[in-house]
Amino acid sequence: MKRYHAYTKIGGIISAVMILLILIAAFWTPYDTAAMDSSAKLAPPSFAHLLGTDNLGRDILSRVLDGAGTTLTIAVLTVAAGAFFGILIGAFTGYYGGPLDNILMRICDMITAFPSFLLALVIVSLLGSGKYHVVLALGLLFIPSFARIVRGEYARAATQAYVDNARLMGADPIRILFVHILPNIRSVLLSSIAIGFNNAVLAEASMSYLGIGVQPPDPSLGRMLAEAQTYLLSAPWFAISAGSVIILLILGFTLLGEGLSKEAGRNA
Amino acid sequence: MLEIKDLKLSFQGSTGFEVIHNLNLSIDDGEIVGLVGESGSGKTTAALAVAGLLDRKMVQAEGGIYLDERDLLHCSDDEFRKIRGKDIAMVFQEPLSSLDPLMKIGRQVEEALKLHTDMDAAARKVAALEALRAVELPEPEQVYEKYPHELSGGMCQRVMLAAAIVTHPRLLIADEPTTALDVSVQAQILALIRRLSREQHMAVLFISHDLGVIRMLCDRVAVMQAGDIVEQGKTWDIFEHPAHAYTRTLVAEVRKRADFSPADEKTVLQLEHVDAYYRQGRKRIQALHDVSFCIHQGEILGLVGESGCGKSTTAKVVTGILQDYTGTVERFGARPQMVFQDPLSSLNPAKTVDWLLQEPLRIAGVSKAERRDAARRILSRVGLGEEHLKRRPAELSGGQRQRVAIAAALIQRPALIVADEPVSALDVTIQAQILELMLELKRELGLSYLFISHDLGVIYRICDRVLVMREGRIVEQGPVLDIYTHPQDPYTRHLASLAGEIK
Repeated sequence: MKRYHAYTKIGGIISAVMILLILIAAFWTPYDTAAMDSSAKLAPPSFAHLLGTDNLGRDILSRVLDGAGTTLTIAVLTVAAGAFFGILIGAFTGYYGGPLDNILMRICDMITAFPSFLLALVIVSLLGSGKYHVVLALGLLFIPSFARIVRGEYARAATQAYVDNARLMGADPIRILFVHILPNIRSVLLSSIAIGFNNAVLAEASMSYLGIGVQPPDPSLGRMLAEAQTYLLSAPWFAISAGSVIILLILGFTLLGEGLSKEAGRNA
Repeated sequence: MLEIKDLKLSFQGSTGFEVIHNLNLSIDDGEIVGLVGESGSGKTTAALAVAGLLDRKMVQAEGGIYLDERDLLHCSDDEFRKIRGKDIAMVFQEPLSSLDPLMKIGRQVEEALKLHTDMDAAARKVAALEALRAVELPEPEQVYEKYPHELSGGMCQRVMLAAAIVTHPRLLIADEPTTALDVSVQAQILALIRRLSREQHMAVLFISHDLGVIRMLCDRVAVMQAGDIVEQGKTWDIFEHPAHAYTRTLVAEVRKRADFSPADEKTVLQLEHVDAYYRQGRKRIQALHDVSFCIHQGEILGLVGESGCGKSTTAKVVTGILQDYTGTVERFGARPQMVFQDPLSSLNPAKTVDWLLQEPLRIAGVSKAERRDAARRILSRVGLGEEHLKRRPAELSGGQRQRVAIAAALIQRPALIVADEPVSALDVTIQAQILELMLELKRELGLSYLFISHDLGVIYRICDRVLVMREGRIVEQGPVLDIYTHPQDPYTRHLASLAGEIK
């Protein structure tokens, strides 16, 4: 019987609800996200518009859910790219060590030495903004943190007797790395994926807020926040809606990550 | 001097149960009494009761414990604080965790003097240095200024002893004090305890699961099983004429000698002039010097020596895990497999028993149905049932884990199994079962073993021939009886003098 930490449960519920809403919004929203209702600009929350309308009379609920969808897609792709290459690099460098380890880890050091946001800015300004360029920039930046965590775990695992045992069975290195060792670092990996996910959500929102992230017509929580800033006093629900969705997304995954790492510590 | 009368201890609370049923034991001045039994038999609980270290809220005690007529069981905590450390001192198994890592050795030894005497600092230092000298620590003035991490395990245990005897206690309670130590260090500490007991007329209650150790040290022995003393008497009598059935099995474990089967002519392993190296950072360190030996089919070759003498390196060269060597290593038959000391780290913790047993066959490309059958067959061969298949290593007991490790090695049909301290982490009775299993497999399958151990008793029981290693060299090799009865090399003689007690 596996017992879950309270954080894992609460985080899991929040994340599941958010993802469910986003999935529904991908196919159906209460209003067309682009439909403007000139009679109800900046209308406060009502039964017609649960979260009110924005400065062009568009339904905020439909727009934040749509925006959250974009954010989620970018975060998932970013973390997937970062984790995939991070695990690959970390596994080989941690297990084999030696000069390859030194070179790759120094490259990771170089990437981490720059403020990541600055580097993302550079990459986006080189490639141009847009959804997939944001994924590319953030994904690249996420590789080092994954690689470092995975490398540490593999370096520790490489000295374990069960790895010697696998070699004695005649398992080839690829099998040892990904079939024998990888399941053992699962919990560490899951919690760093959850943390990476938060960073990705935040980074995407910040970049879009600054206008270098997702471009119209793709909806974005960060850009909505920037638009809502002007109406902060006259229509606070606009900013609050966009902000709350970002907070809920992050809260859910932070709790999930915390809970998983506490469970990992408990089992170790 | 110490008298335990009708002692009964039970844990309180919802799941309350009796740990000690009816314990009677006495120790005279200068006498060493051994308390032997497997873990869970209640020997440590009894010792803690004598030292007044049991929580009175948790444990209900009946009967009496008397130290020179003083009733220890019914005196207050304050009164006990004056006795403990002054009249009763304790030494534990793990010297490193019993010493305060941030306190210099000198201060730790003086601690008891500070609490129980009104000596001034200078007098305390003199007494502490005297105690450090008494436990035969080289250069006590320097040790006095050191921290525990700067000393070896054996030296730390000496420091613990010094701290215990500095107040000249009437009674020393030693709970498995040598279990964590190397064989030769173990012998030195035992000799030291004996000398201190004689010189200071100090009574010693010595707790151990190791009958060999008890036999070397104790005047009298009490054998505990499940909260009762089943037998007590003079050490010699207990060993020569064990009366109780449990004592007989314990004594038999120590003396039993595997039946000899003359080794076949066929060789399964041949090492010639092997020098092996390992890396420590950038340095390449030579771990083996000109090592040559062979193992015949159906033979158990023992490998003894202190930790760091090259035993494990030899194992790695034999199995092919360590490649950095010169000389020739010839292996005949299927690849040698290994059984490690700690199956918890040698069995992949993320996998089930079923997966672990099938994995070698999966790598070899055996079909799924055959793999499943083979795993079930081998599991029942090592004495486990199908209900264990879906468990992970952490969900098995120590003995079951070692059985799974043996099964996982066997399933690849090796001609040779390298067993690196395979029973050191196990209880006496489980130890016997695993050794029995290994012997059975040897007889049935004609399996050979390279059996690495620091435990001379175990080596003596199951090996045909022995290699003695020291500092990366083989100092002596021969049939096990010759090595024990006519040791040639001075180091072997030293080892054999310890083992002589076991015969």
